[in-house]
Amino acid sequence: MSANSNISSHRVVKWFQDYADDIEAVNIHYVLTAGDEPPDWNHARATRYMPLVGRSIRMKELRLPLSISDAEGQPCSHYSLHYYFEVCQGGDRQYSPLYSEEVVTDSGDGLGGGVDHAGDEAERG
Amino acid sequence: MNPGRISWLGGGVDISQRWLAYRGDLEGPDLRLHYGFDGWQEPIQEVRLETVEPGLAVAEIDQLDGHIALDCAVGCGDDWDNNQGFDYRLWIGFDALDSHLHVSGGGAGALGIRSLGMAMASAGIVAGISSWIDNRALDRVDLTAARLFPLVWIRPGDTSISEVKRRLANGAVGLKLHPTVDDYPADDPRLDRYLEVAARLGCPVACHSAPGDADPDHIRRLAERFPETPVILYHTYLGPEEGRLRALEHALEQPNLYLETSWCRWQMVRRLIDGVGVDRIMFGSDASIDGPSHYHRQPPNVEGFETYNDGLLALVRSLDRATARKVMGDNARRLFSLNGNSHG
Repeated sequence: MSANSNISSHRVVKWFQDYADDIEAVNIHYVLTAGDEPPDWNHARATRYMPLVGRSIRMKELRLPLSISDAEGQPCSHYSLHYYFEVCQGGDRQYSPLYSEEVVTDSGDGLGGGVDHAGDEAERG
Repeated sequence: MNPGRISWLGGGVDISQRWLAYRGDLEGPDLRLHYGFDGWQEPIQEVRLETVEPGLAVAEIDQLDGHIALDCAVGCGDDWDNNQGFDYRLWIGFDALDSHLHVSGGGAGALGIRSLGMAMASAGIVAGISSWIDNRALDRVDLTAARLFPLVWIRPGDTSISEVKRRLANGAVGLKLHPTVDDYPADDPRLDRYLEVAARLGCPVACHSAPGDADPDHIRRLAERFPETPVILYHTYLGPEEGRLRALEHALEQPNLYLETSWCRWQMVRRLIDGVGVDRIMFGSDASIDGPSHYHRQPPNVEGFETYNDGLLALVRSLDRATARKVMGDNARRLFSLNGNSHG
């Protein structure tokens, strides 16, 4: 994963490598949480299609907020990104494991720079 | 056993007796149609199916007056063709067309062409408008055999104009926008070049509507820029009722906006019809997102309260026949120019 911030959003890039020829689509589902809150998949989920950017390679740049509100309503620039991949293959839908990682957007200079996080290997399917 | 196909044979649609055709694997002297009206209401009846030629048997059904749908299965001895357990339905008085379908390809899963076919047969859907998030997946499916009319999925900045023109010249009947999963606002100016193609060719644009980037406020602004192009709000807002009613208000004020009814309970569909008029409402279901049982899945999948099959019975029963025909297919046929009103 790589990540950086611009003036209005914090961008996180996710990659997925197709592991079969009959993959018909891949979506990434994600939820953001502050602190130790559990992800609310029913009400806070975002879904984005991951287009092919090369032969069997998919990429999506997630535009995340610079901060989210915590349980007390306070802005929080250090939050968790929970996500999984939905893979449409042969007419069926399959799901990757759930991944979670920390997002920190308060770099002070507006640029978060490249960041590597655990879990990136698994998402490549 | 492969699911068969059940259909009405020729003739007018307003007569009280009609011939029904079964094309399927079952055959033999004991071939019979087991049926009930309007959601398997009693009395359940049986009639002999006469074999006309191998693979085709017919039965004459009478007492259609006063009914709106026939639900059935085919038996022969102890064998049954009940559409893999989902039964068959035929509507009486119209051929239903679903204006919002998805098929991902030829696979055997819930989103594959076989599942969609079973789902459609279980709900009496004879044809439909279909799209998939990757246009190339539909290239591998015999859409004509499945009676599906494809849309071109537009991803602004990614989908080329030449591809759009090529697909529209080769059988696609409109454009599909999904601002939510493709991450752009529905009034994104990058859409204009695609809408210009649609306007030039006179084809509609179907747009997912939901909270956020696909909000009806955005979609209205897009429709305002292309007032001659029909813009269909798929789902009429996939969210709380407030958004549905806001979509209705936009439709009342913007005459090229049309409302599609997937995931709306039947009373809401009635409200939309009463609000904006019958000519701008079209039935859709999002099948077969929930697989072959999409139209009558348990627990109910339409807002957790009703199945499509039950809701459609209530809706059609509440409408006069001309209105039902429009909502259940003819409006979409007109809008997408599908071979007049008789296609399917």
